[in-house]
Amino acid sequence: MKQEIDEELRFHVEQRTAENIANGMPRDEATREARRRFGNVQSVREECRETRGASFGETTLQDIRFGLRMLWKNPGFATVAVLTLALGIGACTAIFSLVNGVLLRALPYDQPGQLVQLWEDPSGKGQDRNSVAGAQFADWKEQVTSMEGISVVRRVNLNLTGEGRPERLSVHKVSADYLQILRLQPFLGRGFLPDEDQPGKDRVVVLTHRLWREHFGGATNLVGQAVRLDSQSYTVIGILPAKPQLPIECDALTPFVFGSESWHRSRSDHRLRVIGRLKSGVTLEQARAEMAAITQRLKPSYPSWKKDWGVAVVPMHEQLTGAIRPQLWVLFGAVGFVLLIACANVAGLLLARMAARQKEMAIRAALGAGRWRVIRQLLTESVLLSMLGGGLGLVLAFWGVNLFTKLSADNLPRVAEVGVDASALGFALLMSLGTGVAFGLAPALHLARPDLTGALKQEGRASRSGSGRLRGALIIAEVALALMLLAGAGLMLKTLFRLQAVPSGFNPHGVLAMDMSLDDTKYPAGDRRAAFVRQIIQRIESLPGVEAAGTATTLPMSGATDSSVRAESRPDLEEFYIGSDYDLVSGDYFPAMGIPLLKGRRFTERDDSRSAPRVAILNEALAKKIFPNEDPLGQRVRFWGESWEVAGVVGNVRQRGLDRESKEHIYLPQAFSPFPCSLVVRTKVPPMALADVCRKEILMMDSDQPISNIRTLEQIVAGSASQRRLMLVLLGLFAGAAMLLAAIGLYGTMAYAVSQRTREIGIRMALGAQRGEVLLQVMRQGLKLTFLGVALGLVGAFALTRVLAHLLFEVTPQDPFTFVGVAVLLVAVALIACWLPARRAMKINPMEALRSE
Amino acid sequence: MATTKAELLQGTLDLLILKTLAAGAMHGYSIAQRIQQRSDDVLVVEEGSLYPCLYRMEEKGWISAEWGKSENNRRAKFYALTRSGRKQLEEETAIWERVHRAITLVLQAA
Repeated sequence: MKQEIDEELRFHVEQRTAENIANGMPRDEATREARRRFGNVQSVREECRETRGASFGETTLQDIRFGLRMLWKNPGFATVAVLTLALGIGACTAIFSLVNGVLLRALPYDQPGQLVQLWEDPSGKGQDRNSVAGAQFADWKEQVTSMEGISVVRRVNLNLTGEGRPERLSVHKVSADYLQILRLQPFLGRGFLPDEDQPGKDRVVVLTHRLWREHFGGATNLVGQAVRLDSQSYTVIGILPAKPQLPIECDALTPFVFGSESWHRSRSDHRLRVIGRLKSGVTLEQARAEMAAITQRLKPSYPSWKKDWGVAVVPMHEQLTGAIRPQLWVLFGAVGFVLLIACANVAGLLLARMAARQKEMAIRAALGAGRWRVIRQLLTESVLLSMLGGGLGLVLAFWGVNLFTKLSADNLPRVAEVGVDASALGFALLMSLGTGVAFGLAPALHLARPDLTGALKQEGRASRSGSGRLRGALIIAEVALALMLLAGAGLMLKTLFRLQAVPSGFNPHGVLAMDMSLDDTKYPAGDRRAAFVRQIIQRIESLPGVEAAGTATTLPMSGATDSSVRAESRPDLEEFYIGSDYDLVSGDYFPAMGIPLLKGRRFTERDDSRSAPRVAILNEALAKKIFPNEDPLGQRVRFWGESWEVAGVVGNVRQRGLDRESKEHIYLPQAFSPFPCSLVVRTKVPPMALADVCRKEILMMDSDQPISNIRTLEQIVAGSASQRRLMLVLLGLFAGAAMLLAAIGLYGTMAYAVSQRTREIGIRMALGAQRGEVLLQVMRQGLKLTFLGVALGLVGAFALTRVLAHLLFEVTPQDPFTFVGVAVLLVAVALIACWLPARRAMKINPMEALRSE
Repeated sequence: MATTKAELLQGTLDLLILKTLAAGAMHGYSIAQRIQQRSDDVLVVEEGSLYPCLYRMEEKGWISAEWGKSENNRRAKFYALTRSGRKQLEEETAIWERVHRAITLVLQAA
């Protein structure tokens, strides 16, 4: 600016000089004449500058410099404010990163909006999602025109053997065009050819990047080589890229050969997941209409009990993230509350500082600063604060997101895509600006009001009326918000207590569990496999420290498989069939799990053979339902088309989760199992201590037999509540932060009020007021705000906690015990926050107070 | 007395600058030169007051400034008339003419 003026003026003088010379003047005289004619350069320059006024940028820079100086002079205030904001903005940014990465951002595939999953829908109204029967898939594939392609996804476990430790892989058998549908290119090699899902051509495998790196050390020459899966040789044809991952994670892909097993042709055996891609230009509604039409056309060929079934076409994004969506929004709302409290707190601090600055502002106004100019300067200061807070908050967010993704890797879909990225940075910036204005505006407006003489005369003492009311309102709001968060956290806490108190029907303490898939070629389902499993159990039971060991197809909390059963004495009519979960168990499964035997006997080695007489064990619920008034022992039931004699009755188990009532359950001997199994070992020592010993024992029997997922039964039970626990931890964290901030705010307000009233209190005491009365009076003022906040918060909580309803267990969203509990907690904290300043007020020495001002 | 004279001068200078710039963009020096030439050397612009006047007019939005190359290829600041400057020129010309007429009438009557 200054240089520009100088340059312009210099140009003028030099032009004049040049002309003078051209008119015949000698050089030095020409210069002198030009200067004389121009007049005083200095004063012209000044005049120009003043005319121009300072630019927007310069003013802002000035304000920032001034703001920084002000903060530097009040390090205590600055630290508290910046930390408070960092907490609020950091938490908000962290949760935003989750919401953005999981819910908002599109899936990382080409045209992700076209990807869908298809389900059979028993409700017929698009509400249920049931796996798809093989014949159903074949029908769809033949008739559908609104999709580019549809592919099955069938999850199986195969044992990878050969070099290195055998590993149990989760393999997806998929249609040949699966990768085309996702539009995923292998990172090395190729995908499946169109005919590779035909019989005889299917011994090819595509590995995920993770498996390739971790098991094969990332060897680039692996493509084209053979690997052994369940004793069969497969050629590795491709390696998938590290990113994006498959929508449903697994270790490897092999072709699904349609028709290779009898259930593929069934319309009532539901084992498949199906994904598809809409043709471009086709809407979801059109695809749904077409699938409904196809279903209508095919109705006659369906079994009669499926006559009301429909098809659900679910966008892939909704399929993957739908379950977590409400929880993430709840968390986002919760951090929003924390941020609001942080803002209210800082606004309170700023209001308190007004006292000291009222005079400063009055002087500015007296010197001609406009109202908006003052507001602008104050806002610059508050935005400066919030930016500092935001910067520190980002560090918090980075750290928090890292921690969170580690903690919740199993509970959060798309967790690999979550991170603090550009949009999170943008969000943090916006939040900082927004909060800076939000908490700065009220104090700024307040401070900038043109009451010059009053402020100048007051000698820097705050006028209590306006700012006091505003601070009071802020405190009430903070307490109310904190109470709502506490109520949410309290409800989650009670839910977890309730879950822990539920009788699970088994004893999870001191039990080791692991998963095992048996090679179909080496151990075909039947007696040979049963004998191998029995041998494993015997060897493990003979280990020191082991009490009992057994296997089952599905451990509690890990899902369930169901079918239907009928008492043989009843006629073969649909109405006499009872839906029941089933499990195939062997060895000492019941004692190992701690499931009590109520009647009869357990399975013995003699029962564990396909040529032995069929015997079954019922749980109590099934026994009561199927033989209401008879002794079930010795009775016969029809299951899987065969007749089974009831040998025993065991206690009920919460198979499907602690929050689900136990269902009817039938147990059959392991020899009849075509499925992989899980091994449970009850130990006298800490279970994990035996993990390696068990693994080695099994490898000694068959060096190609991998086991996977070694964990304790307690971990399985804890895992079943992990989503709720995560919600509790996060809500608890946010609620705790909110309560702390509200308490700090309350303390600050009361302390400030006391410091303002020192003189008044001194006079009262000089006039004979008792110390106790002073204490009470200050406490009363603080508690009035608290009670108002608590009342408001209770109303809010009453309205809001229903968003948690789907996570609660045996607790209503308006649980009075919880509400009263958190209210009492909050009041107790508020009491402490008020008591500290009140005690100071009580200790005021009247003589000193009167002399002080 | 002194103030009225200054105001008159200032107002007149504005008008002269606006009129001069109506012919096209030019830098401060040539504005001063042009005014002097056009008035047959009767009006000599006080150079010291030219620049604050230009800055004031720029601030008011009547003229805009831009750095460019002068005829002898040196960096110079060029001023140009803006839309509102053109309007201002018309208004001030009209006022000037009215005043001029009025003064002439008074002088003729005497």
